Amino acid sequence: MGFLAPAFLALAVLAGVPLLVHLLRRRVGRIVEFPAVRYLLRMEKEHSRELKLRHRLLLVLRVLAVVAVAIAAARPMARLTGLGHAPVAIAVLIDNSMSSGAVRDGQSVLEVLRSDARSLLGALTEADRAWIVTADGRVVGGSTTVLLQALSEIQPLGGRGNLPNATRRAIALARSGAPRASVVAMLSDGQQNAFDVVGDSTVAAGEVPVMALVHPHTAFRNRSVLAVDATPARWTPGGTVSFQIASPDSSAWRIALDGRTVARGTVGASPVPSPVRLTQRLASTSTGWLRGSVEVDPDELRGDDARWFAVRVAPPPSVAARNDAGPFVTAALNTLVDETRLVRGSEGSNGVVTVASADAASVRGPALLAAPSDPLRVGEANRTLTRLGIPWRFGAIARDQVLARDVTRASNSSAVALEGTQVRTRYPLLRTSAGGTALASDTLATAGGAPWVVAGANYVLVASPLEPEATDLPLRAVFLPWLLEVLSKRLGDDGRVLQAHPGEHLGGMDGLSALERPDGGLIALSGDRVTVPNAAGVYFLRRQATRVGALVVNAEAEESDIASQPAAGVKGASPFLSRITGRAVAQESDGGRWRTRVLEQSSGRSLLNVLLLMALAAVVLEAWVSRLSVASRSV
Amino acid sequence: MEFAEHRPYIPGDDLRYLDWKIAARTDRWVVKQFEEETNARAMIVLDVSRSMQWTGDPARLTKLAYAERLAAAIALLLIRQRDAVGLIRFDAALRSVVPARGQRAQWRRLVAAFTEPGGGSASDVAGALLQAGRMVRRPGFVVLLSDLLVDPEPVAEAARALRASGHEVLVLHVLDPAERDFPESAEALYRDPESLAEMAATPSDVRVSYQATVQEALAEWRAAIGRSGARYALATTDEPFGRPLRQLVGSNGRGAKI
Repeated sequence: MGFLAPAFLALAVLAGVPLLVHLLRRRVGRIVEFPAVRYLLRMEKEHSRELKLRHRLLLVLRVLAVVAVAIAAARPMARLTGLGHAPVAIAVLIDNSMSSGAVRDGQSVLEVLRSDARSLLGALTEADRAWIVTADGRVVGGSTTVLLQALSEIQPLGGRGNLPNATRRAIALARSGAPRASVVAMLSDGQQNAFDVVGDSTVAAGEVPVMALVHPHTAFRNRSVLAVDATPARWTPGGTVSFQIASPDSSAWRIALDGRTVARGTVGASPVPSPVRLTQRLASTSTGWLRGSVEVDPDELRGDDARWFAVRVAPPPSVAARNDAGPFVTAALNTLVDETRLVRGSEGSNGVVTVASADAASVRGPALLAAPSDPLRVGEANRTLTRLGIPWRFGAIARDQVLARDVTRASNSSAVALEGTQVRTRYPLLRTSAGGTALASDTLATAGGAPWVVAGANYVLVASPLEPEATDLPLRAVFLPWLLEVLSKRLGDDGRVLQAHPGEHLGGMDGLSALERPDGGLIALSGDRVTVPNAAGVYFLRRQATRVGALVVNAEAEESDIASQPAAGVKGASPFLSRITGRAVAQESDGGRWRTRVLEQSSGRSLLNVLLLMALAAVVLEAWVSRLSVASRSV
Repeated sequence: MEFAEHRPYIPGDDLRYLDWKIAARTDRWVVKQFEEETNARAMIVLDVSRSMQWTGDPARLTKLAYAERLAAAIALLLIRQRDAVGLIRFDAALRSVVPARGQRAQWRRLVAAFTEPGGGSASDVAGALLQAGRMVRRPGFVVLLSDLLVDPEPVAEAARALRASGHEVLVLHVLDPAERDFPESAEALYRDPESLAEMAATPSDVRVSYQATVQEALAEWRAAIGRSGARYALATTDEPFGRPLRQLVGSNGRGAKI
């Protein structure tokens, strides 16, 4: 038995009052003249046994009444089987992942789950506490009215959310409602990979029961766009869109750019594990940042019928190369210019990136700077770095052969280019406190344990001359793309294209003022981090009124794998429930039985009414006993 | 009383009835005999002990005041029908005695006697009854007004003796409603003003038992007085005087009227 307000148990000391009165009754000080005392004495003599019994009974009843009221005030609860439901702390966990938006028989899965949740919330009383937790971890608490309102506003997420985290949060909330009986009431479409998330996907529920409701349903044919990639980030004005489509039957697809269909086609049947991979070369007549999408024919699950990408259509970046940059760099730049990936510009002009040796005179940023070939020029190079405000300087020359290591852990081509690069001559980079702030994240690659390639706001610094004698980087196949990426993305104005899933938390938002939603509205940014919106789409990164990049939000490809949902008639718990360990983890397929089982977890009831009735009965009985005609029956 | 005849004096005769004129003229000692005109002789026996001076409500008469008014009414009734009425006031002992007379001034004498002292700490009811029997030489009426906070048996024995002497005995049990119902609310130490006996009680707890006990006691009184051949009536001080009077004024079972 537990108490919601145990402090009120102190009222039980009032039970001593009747006892005290009983014990002190013979010490009454008031004397009343009463001639018929002989009748009193006779009464006591004749009815002493009954009177004593009645006195004790009255005492017991009075003490019982006081104690019952005191205990009732403490709001006791007890688990008594078969007496309705006790106050319960219930966290209603609604799996509103993208797959819950699937429509069956004219009604979405989420709407069915919402109806079941509404029914459960309607069965709660004022003594209960309840929260609604959605798959993205959002929590709403409050009265039943508030919860019902919040329930009606829940929409399918643009992605899968994080059901394990949401479950942990629901368990913690339910547990916080103690001493009420804690229970997590989960409603899900039963997608088997619902718990397949990055990180820890197991949940320990402990003593908190987890009752899941998964309606059986028939499988349906789901067409989905599983992936899309637009390269390069800057189209000049053309580029390539690679995408993957999974469909149980042949399906039409189309690519839209800036709202216009620019390509279309048809794919044959292809299951999710082995989707059709397609690539389209496209060109845009529009310029600037553009939204693009790859779409397939609509089906029951609309959330994955389109997948988004973003490109920037603009002229190629301009570059100016000094002769001291070396023959390999010059040749690479010529190639990129010939392929119209770059254009030559005048050094010092706005937006033109300079490629030079660090010891070159009068270099201005943005610049790709390499270490000087002549060790005697290192001093001059360091002075150049200081003049440009670059917080690094070249250290003493090292001629041991080492392999470069990528420290960005990124999967893009530039990082791949640096990983494993042989370095024979290098000037280990040392951070200085003057001229700017160097961050650990500035280091792109290390060699021999020391920074080898670093980057800043308007510079990329290589600690070796870009010559085969110093490093094999100019000889590697990835040198060209690396060089293009450095010049266009890091030092040019390509901007950033961030890929994210709904509900994720992203950093690196410094310098951005807002996210521009697909409908044109703005989401103000403050600080370095942002929670990715739940609706899939392209959100342009805004620096004041200027678009400087794009946040592309798409659902996880696994969320389209609805074939793994349990089919109608399949019995047993959904596989994802096996990830939840605890005293009572169970699944129901019928809403009524599920509601009953959820409330059964708190079988028993509040003893408030029982105790108040007991107190009332004691008072009534006391009144009756005090008027009870013990003797009248014998007269 | 009307003169009837003379008869020779016999030692022990009351000298008040000696005819002094004949004795002076003829030197013969004769006494006057009178022809009584009254129908009956009655003695009212009134308990004036301390318990009778109690009332459970200041708005009500004390038991004594109530009994005195009843006694006055009975006396007036008897005098008007030419019966002789006397009064005995008693507590532990006789406090005052007014011999029975049928004269109209007798009522004033009786009422005046009510002002005489009383308030003793006991009630010798049986003694007072026997004394009343002795004062009524011819068979007559003895009316007892008392709260009867005594044992019934001695009183019943006295009543039985009076009945054996041919007297009609009427017992009027005067009771305050508070003594019957025990309406007190607060717990207190209850003390008998006569015997000073005490008992602590919580009225709400014992009221029912108390009331039952009182009813038992009243039933015992009714039975005991009834067995003695006397008549018994209960009068509570919150009821009109007419009801106990109607109980007393009526057939005595032998055709006589009070």
